[in-house]
Amino acid sequence: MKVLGIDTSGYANAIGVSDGDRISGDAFFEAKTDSLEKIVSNIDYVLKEAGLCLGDIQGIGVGLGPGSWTGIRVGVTVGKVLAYSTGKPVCGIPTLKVLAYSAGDTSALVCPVIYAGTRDTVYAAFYRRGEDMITREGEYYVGSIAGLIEMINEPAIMTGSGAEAYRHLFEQKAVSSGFAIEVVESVLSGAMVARLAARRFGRGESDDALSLEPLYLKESTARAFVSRYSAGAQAKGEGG
Amino acid sequence: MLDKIHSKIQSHYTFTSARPATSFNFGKRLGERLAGGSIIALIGELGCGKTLFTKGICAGLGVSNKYISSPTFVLVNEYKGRLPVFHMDLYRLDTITEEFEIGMLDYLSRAESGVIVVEWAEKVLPLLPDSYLQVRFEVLSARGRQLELTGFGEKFAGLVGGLGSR
Amino acid sequence: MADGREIFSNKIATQLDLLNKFGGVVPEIAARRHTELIGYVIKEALDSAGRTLNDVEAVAVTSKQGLIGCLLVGVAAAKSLSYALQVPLIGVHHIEGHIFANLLSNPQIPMPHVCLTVSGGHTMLVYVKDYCQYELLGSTLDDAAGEAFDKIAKFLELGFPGGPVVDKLAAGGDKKAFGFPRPLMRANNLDFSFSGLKTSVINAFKDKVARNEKLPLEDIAASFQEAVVDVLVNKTLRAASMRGVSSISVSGGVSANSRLRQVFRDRCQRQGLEVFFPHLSLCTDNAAMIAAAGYARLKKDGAADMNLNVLPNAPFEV
Repeated sequence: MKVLGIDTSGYANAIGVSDGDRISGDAFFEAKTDSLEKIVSNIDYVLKEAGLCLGDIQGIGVGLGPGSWTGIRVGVTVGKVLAYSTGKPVCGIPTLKVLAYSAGDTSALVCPVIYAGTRDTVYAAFYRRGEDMITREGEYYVGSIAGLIEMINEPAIMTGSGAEAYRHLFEQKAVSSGFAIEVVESVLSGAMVARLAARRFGRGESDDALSLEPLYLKESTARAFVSRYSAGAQAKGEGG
Repeated sequence: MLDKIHSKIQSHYTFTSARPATSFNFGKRLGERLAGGSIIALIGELGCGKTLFTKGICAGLGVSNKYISSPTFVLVNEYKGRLPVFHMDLYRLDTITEEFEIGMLDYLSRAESGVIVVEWAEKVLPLLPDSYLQVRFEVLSARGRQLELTGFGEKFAGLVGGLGSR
Repeated sequence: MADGREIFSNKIATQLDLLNKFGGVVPEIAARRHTELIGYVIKEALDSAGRTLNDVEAVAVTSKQGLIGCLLVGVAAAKSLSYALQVPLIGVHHIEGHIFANLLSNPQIPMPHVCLTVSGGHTMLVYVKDYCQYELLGSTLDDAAGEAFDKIAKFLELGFPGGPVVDKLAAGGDKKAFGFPRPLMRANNLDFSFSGLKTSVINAFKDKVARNEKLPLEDIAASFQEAVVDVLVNKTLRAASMRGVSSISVSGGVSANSRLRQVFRDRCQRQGLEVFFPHLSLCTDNAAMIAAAGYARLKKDGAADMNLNVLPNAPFEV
């Protein structure tokens, strides 16, 4: 099954195509300030490079975030409207899951980390590799990087943009805790989104195009900032 | 990307203005001294002169007045001066979640390259980094205003301290 | 467009040959949930017109002027539709949409004419030479007229949206009770400014409170509204006179204001001018006006390419 995968949550347009076990196309286009401008051109480019046109695509996978709210909005809208207008099925895939799968084969705990944009706040989750799939352990995490590090109590692989940014803190934790914490580079892959969507399609699953929504983690994000601010404000005697 | 500056470093300056033009000119002086990555938080009641002050800041950054208007309805106006300026107005928003929805976190992560001026900034304080400049407006009379500036972080210590001298 | 008006009138009947996509200022509740709702909106538009995706021949979308978050969703959806259906895409400026809102309601508005677009986000005076040929004569230097209504209404705790509330309250008030300033009235340009008026109203209110006097909300509303209407009508008529046109088009949310309509009608009748208002459903932001504008633009400039981007602060160009 030929599946088009899109993820725009990471200040870039990640587009890919999977076809059964093969990857027919996978490209990453930087889009610091806006994904919107080139998103359709990017999709068209990847399809053409794979020798395909939109009509050949049998299903669409969309990264749901978290990450850039503005970016996610573009990708999810494009994914759902393409699905609606071509009459093809669509599957939404959480971005942290895509990153977890992209970290490669490992028996350790995988923790993708995405920087939320301000105040050392990150999105993260812990994933454990099983027989042929990776399962999330626990809830999505939105909070301070310090709080996340405290939660690590076994060997782990950190990946994603947030992992790179705080490499030194993870190295410190590895030293102080005595267990291996590795930072593995990962690039958000549209082809991985496509593969994960293909798996869901293979199980007979799909999402409703019209109601497909991003994974913003709104409430958790709001709580993460407000509770830390109140605590901090009290400590500093700030008004407001 | 990483906020390492502690807001324990605070600098203060009080400016009294008898007429709107004086507030505008003070904003202009401030704008001339701003570096990239500056966030200016404006706090004050309706009609206290936040937009006028923003016009002054923009004038100091080389943005022509004719491009500047109230962003109350569009939420964000972008101008091109010697630095990109993001003029935000949170008047219509009630919760932090609504701020995320307008892309506030994206703007804050883009802040390094430009200047963000936020009107009704009391609504966004939990999201601001440790280093920013706060301006509180007090209405003294029909035209008179008092501006309380607080610079949080080392970056603004020099700026605020230097406002006293011409 | 040689047969401009006739082609245009025909198009009103079949306007949904252009599927409308809208990104701009929308009612509060929907504003935050564009991504979630856009699919439903498209389907709803097609269903209610009795059409299917196969009937869509072009896609017009607001790409200039508006809230960036909303514009993004609209253009993302429009691009996707255009790409999937292989039909032309047209980006439209929100203000041009408002100009067409009145042309949709009143196809007989002659060219050239002067159009005042007045809403929460905009106050603009445009010389409409012909379809898609404009000259910006003036705009607000600070607050838009509709914004002034909303802020005063909120300050007086009258509720939201401010326009209709103030309109209703003003009916029972004395418009001469307060002599609020008419900003830039004597200025020899056609720009507007309402933030000074807003401050005057606030100061007058505070004054009354300080003196422990009664707060005549109806009088304040009526006097404030009269000041806004005065400025809008006078400047528009001045523009019409300067350009030698005898037709005036008023559109945008504030054009629904009853006092504004009344004063425009009275003054225009006295001066032998015609004034046109859109149907109430087309005064506020809508996508039909975008479709109409898009059709005209497609004819004049051709389609946009797939890299169409949003410009939230796009100036209104000629």
